[in-house]
Amino acid sequence: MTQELIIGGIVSVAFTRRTMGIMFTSIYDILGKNGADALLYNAGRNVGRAFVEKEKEITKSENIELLNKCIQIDIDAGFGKFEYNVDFNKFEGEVKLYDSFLAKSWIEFTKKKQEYPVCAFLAGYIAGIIESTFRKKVVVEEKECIALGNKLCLFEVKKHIFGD
Amino acid sequence: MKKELLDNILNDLKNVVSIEASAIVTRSGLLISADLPQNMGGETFAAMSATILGAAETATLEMKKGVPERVVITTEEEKIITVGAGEKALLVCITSDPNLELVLEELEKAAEKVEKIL
Repeated sequence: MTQELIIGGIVSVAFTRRTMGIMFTSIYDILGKNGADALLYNAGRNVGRAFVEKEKEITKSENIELLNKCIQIDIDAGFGKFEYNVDFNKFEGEVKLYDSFLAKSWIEFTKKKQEYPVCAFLAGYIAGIIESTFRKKVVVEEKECIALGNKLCLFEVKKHIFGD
Repeated sequence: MKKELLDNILNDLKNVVSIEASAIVTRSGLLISADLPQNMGGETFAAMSATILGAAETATLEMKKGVPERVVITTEEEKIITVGAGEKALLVCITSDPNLELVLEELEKAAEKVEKIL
């Protein structure tokens, strides 16, 4: 049996940035920007929701405390450094992500700036995290992206038209 | 306000042709308005519709055949029809109406209204 990679007590797998870049650019090549954004946002949201539900179960924490635990795990896992500047009464605001692993993967593989933001998976992931933590539906849209040449990836958070 | 107007478009559509489910979705797969059966997952339906239309666009552009006007998926019982509604959205419906021409015509009209609102 091959040796498993264990990170934080969880069986994990590791990909190089180049591999991530190939995977994600291939999805965009086949589905186009809109199709890939739709697929990856949805996938990211499901991952975010599942992650929060698991953390909730393990840590028994809620709301901001739960969110902060999740943010720290993401930072430790190498997703990048998240900064949530969101009003959790209105569910409006922004999330800054420094060193997005996804945007950096694109650059690593393509060696050039992109024409559009590439972190739809992470936009969905942030939406899933907020939705599962606070039980409110939100829409998250990437406004700036390292892959576009910006210094960081900036995600706008808005309350979903369907509310709860 | 916009949400009400968009909901009305889906209601009007259902009054003209036989529609089992319909939704207005952003091009990137977010649900804006929907008239779906309770057992249907709106979010997944929305994401799938946008993904299918996106893939169809990539395919036709790759073949240098322009932008697809619509995607029609035909099953034994029904058709799933997706049409673009301007740059921002798309309109998708599930129908078993035998008069496909009429459905397409009404869908195009509805899509134009959606485009104007958004």
